[in-house]
Amino acid sequence: MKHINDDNIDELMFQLLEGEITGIERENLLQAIQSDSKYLVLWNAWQNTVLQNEEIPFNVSNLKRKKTIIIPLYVKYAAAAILIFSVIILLNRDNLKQEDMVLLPPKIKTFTNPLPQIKKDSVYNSHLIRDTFVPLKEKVKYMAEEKSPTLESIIIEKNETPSEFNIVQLNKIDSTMLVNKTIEVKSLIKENEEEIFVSVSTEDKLNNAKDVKSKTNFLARLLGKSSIKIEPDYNTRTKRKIIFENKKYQIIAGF
Amino acid sequence: MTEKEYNTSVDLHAKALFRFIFKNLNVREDAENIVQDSFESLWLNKDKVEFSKSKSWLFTTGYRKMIDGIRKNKKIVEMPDVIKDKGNSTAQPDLKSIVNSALEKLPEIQKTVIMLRDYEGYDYAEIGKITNLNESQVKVYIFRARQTLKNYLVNLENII
Repeated sequence: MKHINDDNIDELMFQLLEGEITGIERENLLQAIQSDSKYLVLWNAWQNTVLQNEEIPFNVSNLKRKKTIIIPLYVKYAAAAILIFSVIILLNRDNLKQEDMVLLPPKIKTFTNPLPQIKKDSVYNSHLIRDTFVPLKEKVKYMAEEKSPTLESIIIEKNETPSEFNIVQLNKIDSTMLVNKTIEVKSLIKENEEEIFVSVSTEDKLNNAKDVKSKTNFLARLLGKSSIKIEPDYNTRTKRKIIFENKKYQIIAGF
Repeated sequence: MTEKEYNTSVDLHAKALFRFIFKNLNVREDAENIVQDSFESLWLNKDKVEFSKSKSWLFTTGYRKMIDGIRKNKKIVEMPDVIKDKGNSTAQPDLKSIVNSALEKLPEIQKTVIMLRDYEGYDYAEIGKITNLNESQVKVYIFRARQTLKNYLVNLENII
């Protein structure tokens, strides 16, 4: 057993405090300390050297790891693709709008009754105008007499779009066809004095009457006889139309 | 170490580590930074560190970072708020404050080992691992620390 004295008091008290002395030895040592007031003060001081637990506030939440969600690779690609498409759509929004408009079916122009009022204009005023009108009376007169340089030949290209007023649809024709039927046309004029509108081509190359005349005989022989007939047509004011035709060409004139 | 275990380590040891560092440095901001760095380091080494050894690992890392910081900055040690308040007060200081003030006067290594011993309950071997000392050295430092505190307390008692 260790005897406590001034030389070893610190060492023994330290060992006692640290739990290195146990059992009977500890009990005897404690008894010796209690018996001496000087040792007791020192022992109390040694006991107070043990640091007491102390709480210091500290936020630990920011140290923690938040749960990570593992996203499969294809989801990332899909998300990226969606993002890219969204950006493209946003950037080209205006262009797409225009394209949408183009994609719409085009409006089909329909010509229905009542027909619009047509301002009279003379074919003579402008030889550059392809589709215009001339009163049938005058037209037939010119055609019959073969006086009008512009009407010596009335030829309109096949597949040409109808005139604005949809009054007349003309296919290819030569003046002789009309000239040959002057009498019948005149009879029609007598029957109905209203104006008739036709589409007239005024191209210079067609103005050469001699060339056309020589061709007409050939064409007439080639294409056979022409005919004129009147058929009902509810798109015209008079509900009728005149059709000049042969095997190859057809002229439809509306009143 | 899994993420869950890491978070458990935070719950179990973060406050203790902060107290250990803060008591040594007495600068809250520095202590928080060191704790943050220590846990960041733990997370980076989670595959190497076992959960059961995470506390020791954290204190070792924290201690080393603290020593590095002290050597780098050589900061002036501030008095803790508690002691400052008590110093201004006319009332008689309690034992805890006296011990704290005495603790501040201890050399750095003695303060460290006695705190690891009393606050965290580490044995000499564990303290030796953290502080890179052997057990005998740890024991000597703890003895000197306690002796200094005891003398401080006895002298104060005599004055009072």
